[in-house]
Order: sequence, then C-alpha cells, then structure tokens
Amino acid sequence: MSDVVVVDVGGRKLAVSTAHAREVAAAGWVTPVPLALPPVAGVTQLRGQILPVLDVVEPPRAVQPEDPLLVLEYGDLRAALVFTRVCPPDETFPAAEPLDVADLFARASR
Amino acid sequence: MSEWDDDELRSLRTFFLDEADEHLDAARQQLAQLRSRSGEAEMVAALLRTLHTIKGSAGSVELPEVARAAHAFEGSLIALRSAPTTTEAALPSLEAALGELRALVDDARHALPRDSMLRPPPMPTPPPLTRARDRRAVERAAPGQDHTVRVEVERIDELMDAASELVFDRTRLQRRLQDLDARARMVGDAEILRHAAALADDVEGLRRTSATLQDRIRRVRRVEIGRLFARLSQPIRELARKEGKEVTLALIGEETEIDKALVERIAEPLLHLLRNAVAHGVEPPDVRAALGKPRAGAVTLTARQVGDAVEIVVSDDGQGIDLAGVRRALVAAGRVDAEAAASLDEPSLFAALFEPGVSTRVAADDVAGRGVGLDAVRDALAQLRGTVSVTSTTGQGAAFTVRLPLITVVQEALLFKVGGQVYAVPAARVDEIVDITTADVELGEVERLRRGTFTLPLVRLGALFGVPPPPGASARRSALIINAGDDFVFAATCDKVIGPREIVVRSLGPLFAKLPLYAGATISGAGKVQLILDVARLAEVARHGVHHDRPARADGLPRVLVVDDSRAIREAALLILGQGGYAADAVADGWDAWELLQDRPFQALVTDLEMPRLDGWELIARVRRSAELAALPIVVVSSRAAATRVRVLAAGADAVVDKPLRRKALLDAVAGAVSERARERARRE
Repeated sequence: MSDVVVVDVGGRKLAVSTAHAREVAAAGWVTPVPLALPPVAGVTQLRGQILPVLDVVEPPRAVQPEDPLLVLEYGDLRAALVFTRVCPPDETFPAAEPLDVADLFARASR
Repeated sequence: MSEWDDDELRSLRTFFLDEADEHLDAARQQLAQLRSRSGEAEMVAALLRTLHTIKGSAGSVELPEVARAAHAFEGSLIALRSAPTTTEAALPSLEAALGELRALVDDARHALPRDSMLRPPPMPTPPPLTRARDRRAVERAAPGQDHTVRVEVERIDELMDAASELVFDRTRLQRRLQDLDARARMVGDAEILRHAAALADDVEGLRRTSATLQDRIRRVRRVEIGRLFARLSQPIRELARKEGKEVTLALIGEETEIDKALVERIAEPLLHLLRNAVAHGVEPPDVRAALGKPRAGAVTLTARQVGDAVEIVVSDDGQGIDLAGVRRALVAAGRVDAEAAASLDEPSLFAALFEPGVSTRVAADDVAGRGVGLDAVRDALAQLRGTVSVTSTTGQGAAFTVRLPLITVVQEALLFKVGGQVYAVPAARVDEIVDITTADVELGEVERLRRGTFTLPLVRLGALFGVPPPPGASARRSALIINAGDDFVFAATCDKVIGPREIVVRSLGPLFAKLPLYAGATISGAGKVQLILDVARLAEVARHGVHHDRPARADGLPRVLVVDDSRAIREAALLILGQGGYAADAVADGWDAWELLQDRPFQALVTDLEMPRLDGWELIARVRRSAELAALPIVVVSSRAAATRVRVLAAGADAVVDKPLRRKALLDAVAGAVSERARERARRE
C-alpha cells in the first residue's frame, strides 16, 4: 500500500491515505459535546479553527491534551482522529486496515 | 413549444446567468493555466467539465445559441486532446471561442425583460479599454453601470473572522491599558496618566471602527428577500388554479435583506405556509361572495427587520383557524380529554397547531391527502434558530409569523458551568439569574419552577447533557430565566454562573449540523472551546421534554432528492417535480446528497453524474451498497444520456433522462422507477 500513513489507534492499525491526512497536532483541551454520538469524542481548536475530534475506539476514551491527533480533510470537511502512535513503514505486522475517511465523516455527522 | 411559462423561464434564466459568470471566469482561469502549461491534462479536463455544465444548463433554460457555442468549444478541446496540434498553437482559437461564449451569455442577459423583478435593467456594453485614463473616463461616463463583483461566501466569512479577531485584540489592549493606568497611578506620573487616557480614547475609537467593519461585512452577505418571494409566486398561483380558488398575492418588504445562507433554507417552510393559506385559509369564490367578501382571497407575504431578527408574515383574509377542529384533533390524538379541550384558550390552541399529528388531522377534514405539516415547518425553522407563531380571527383570516435571527458573529453572552464545562447563551435572552432549591420545583409531566404566583417550565441542563452535578454540590442551584421570544419564558438550571462576556461566535462546522442544540462555539482566552446553546432549541426541550430529531416530513407528498452542481438544473427539476406532485429537496453535490439520504426518507433520487466531491457514479454505488437505501429508485440526468445509458443502468440506476430537462421525460422516469421498485418489492414479499 503506497501513499498512506499508518497509525495505531488503541491496538488497531489504520492506514490513512495521504490525500486525506493533513498534519499531526496535539489535542489540547478537548471539550465534550453532549448528545453527540461516537465516533465524536468532542471538539478542540487548532490555530483558532474549531476542529471536531473523532475516536474510533469503543468505548470512547478521555482524550488528554498531550494526545496526538491526525487532522483529516475530506473535501471542505475537517476533523481530527485520536491515535496513539505513527507506525513505521517496516512494521508490517499486523496488517493495517484502510480507513474509509468518507464513511468516518458520514458516521460523525449522523 | 417551451417547457416553461414566461415567469418560470425568466426565473430559471436568471439563475443560469448568475452562475454562468462564475463558470466563464473559471474557464478563463483554466485557459490561462493552459497558457502557462501548468497541469495541462488536468486543466483540459477541468475546462471540459465547466463547458459541459454550461451546455447542459443553457439547454435547460432554452438558450440554444449558448448551448451550441459551449458544445462547439467542447468539441475543439476534445479534438485538441487527440490531435498533434500543440496546446499553445490552439490557444488563440480557444480564447476566441471563450469570448464568443461570453458575448452570447451577455446577449442573453440583456434580453431579459426590463420589468424583471430579479435583475436591474441591462446597461450598454462599454467600448474596449486601452488606457487607464480611458477606463476611468468610461466609469464616469456611465454612472448607472452595474459595479458589482462576485465574491465567494467563504471569502466574506474569512473577512468576518479577521474583523472579529479585532475583538480579541481590543480586549488585550484594554487589559494592558488598565495595567498601565494602575501603575501610573501608583507612581503618580501625570505624563503617563495623560498618555494612558489618550490611549483609552484610541481604543474606544478602535472599538467603534471594528463594530462598523463587522456590520458592513455582515451586510455583504445579505441578499434581498424579494428574489425568494418571486420564486414562491408561481407555485401558489398554480395551487390556486388547481384548488379552483381566486387568490391575489401581495409581496411587501421585498427589499428586506436576509443572510444568503438562509434564503434557500426558508423557501420550503414559507411555501408550506403559503400553500396552507390557499388550501385551507381562503374560501372558494362563491362562498366568499356569499359572505360579502371579494371573490378573490388576499394572501400577503410581508418581510421586515425587527431588531436583530427578520420577521416574515404569511397572512390571508380567509376563514381563520378552525378552533373547534383543533380541539377535536387534540382529543382524537389523546392529548387531552373533551372537557380539558373545551377549556383551552386561544393561545394554547394556536400553539397546539404545531404539534405533530394535530395539524394534519385538522387539515385532513378539508383536503384529503394534503396534511399541513406545521410541525415540520416549526422543525425546519428551529434548525435555523427561527420560530413560527400564528394569530387568527374566525371568519377574517390568519397570520403566521416567522422570525429568523440575523447572523451575528460578536455578541454579548452569559457564561455558566454545567458538569465542569463552560457554556454560553446570548445575554440578551437571559432575563434573570436566580438561586433555587428543590422546594421551588413542582413535579409533574414536565418540571416547573415556582416564581411567585406562577410557574415556568424547567430544564435541568445537567440531566439533559447526561452529566452528574459536581462533587459537593449543594441542594441550592443556579437557574437562568430565559426568554425565548413570543412570550415564552423558561428556566434552565446550571452548576455555577460565571458572568457576562463579549464572545466571538464561531461555527461548529457541518459535522455538527445534526446537533441543533448548539448555535456555535467560542474560544476562551485560555484556548478552550466553549459551546453556545441554541435558545430556541432549549425552549423546545422546555415545552416538550427531550426532543428527538425526526426526519422532516413532506406534507403527505412523496419526497425526491435532486443532486446537480448546476443551480439552473436544480431549479428546473424542483419546478417540474413540484408541479408533478412531489416534494423535492436539491443539493449541489453527491456528498451533501449522501448525508441527506441518511437523515430523512426519500422516495426517489434524481442525480447528475459529474459533480465535485462525490460524483454521481460513487453516489449510486454507495446507495446500492447500503442496506437501508439499496432499493431507492434512482434516475440519472445526463447530457450524454445515449452514450452512457448502458453503463449507468449497469451501475445501478433505474432510468436515464437527457439534458436539457423535459417535464414529461423527467416525471415519467421518476414515476416509472418508483413503480418498478415497488413491483420488485411486492414480488419479493
């Protein structure tokens, strides 16, 4: 698989196309959004822009300010995925599953 | 023979001409990039898509010369892709073709009737300019020339954000000034104190300037509501004809400005109310004559700005609300018994009209199958933080009043804490802050707060958010007394009130559009996001308890979703489907369509193929893969219908219709697709 960045999300390895991955940033203070369903974990801000925070791990974890986020873009939609670490290219086991970014955003906007 | 009557054609051509300028500008930039040889293949493909859109849209609004010119231009580009001629050698002829296309679009604009409500009178084309001095001279010589510039809404939002940042800058300046003043007083330095006073005047000047800037930029986003009113006229005349009624429609306050983002979204709720007025308000001509009224009923659509809101009133001089019918409907719906229904006053009965199931029953007595759907109107307006109310006099008519907030970015808010998190509400909506104990709360179906001799509905925000009170919380709580407008006041409990703050309102973005409880967010000085609560939505919770979002229902009409990146095509399809007895929604690309399909039920999908973000092919594939949507009837609209028919049907569509749109072809295709899927379903069962 080429042109992807592989991240470890609570033990799951997800391959994210670089067409959708923008940057890595620290979560900062994540404000919970009552009544929002998973995968929405809350909302933070990055350089003054409001950014939804998504977590695909169930049950949802409390996101700490120092936790890394992978900022994703799909068209004009932006959100950040909570992850644990970036997996190096030579770490091929277990295999990474591709992340369907469009589907993730669709579930977040239900 | 034309598909459209004169009014329809004028309206559709206006939409086409509005977007044609944008497409032609895009084509000019794409040609310029071809000249610079950057990304040649992508630019040719982008230019082909632009021309394709212009061709399809021009055909649909019956501008065959424009469509032919676009088609010829397309042909030149396709030939270029396969011919040995270099792009550079072909550029002069491509630029000439673009110039010819632009001239034809300008001719079409000038040919629009002078009395069109939607466009200013056409101005003569100025002569070609050679020197800057000549340009200025031409501008002075033609004072009535239209000096408009088309700007993307996103650019205006960026300007607004930048202007709003001045609020933060000013706050920081004021804090430093206060520090400086305090230190100067400590050391008793008169010179510094004078400078501090002068600086304070400058900061106050900055405040006035930034307020003016924000106000001017806000006004740039606004359009006159008259454009929307004009669009609503024709369907109402059509409905009156079908109902056998005579109706005169008066439009007042068309120059009232409304945010561009709101215009599309209030069209359907207003159409509901107008249909209501014609179908259930205005009496048949003979009945009116017997009552001594003019044979033609008067329906009036009025708009005006009231404070920080726009107020739109739909009124008629018909029979008024059938209050006895509302009482019967409430009893039939099991809301109250007959005795309680008899004792309900008029305001309570008017409020009950917007309850689900009540208005439908009332209307069904009059026109079978034409449910009013006022609860759907209320829900649609609530999503825009708007409200609707009604007044009526039996025998004289009714008036529905819609209120919509003008979008403001900087506002005074009251901050408070719930479950350790800070939230905000507009300060103007908070009448009072009180301390309450459990002794002040009356238990019942809905909790109410005792305030002297009367009670208010009570919302426990902690319970609503699902968060427990903080550790050590006492039985005494703070409560905000909130005025939601229309004389509805309620109380909302919180853990602690922080106080008033001037905040910059930021959008939560499209991913949170389905959470109408939040009007937006702000960022604190410490960089934390704080959510702003929507008062209208809280008021709904106060009225009814927790309100779960439901899909909006058409008033008994089958619902169709139209997807096309051309506004002219969308408008044409909406007109055709509306006249064909459908309730239709329209979006500009496959991504918005996919989201909307998850949110509410549709009976059919009508989609273009080539669209930004998610194209028609991908949309069809997703629909067919989805367990819930797999059986949705899909009709594809394409200007290459013949060439792509086999592939489109193999991809999962049920029918393919040619562009330009033809009324009979589209309606037959939709009806056919729906019937075929229904037969398939019946066979399986």
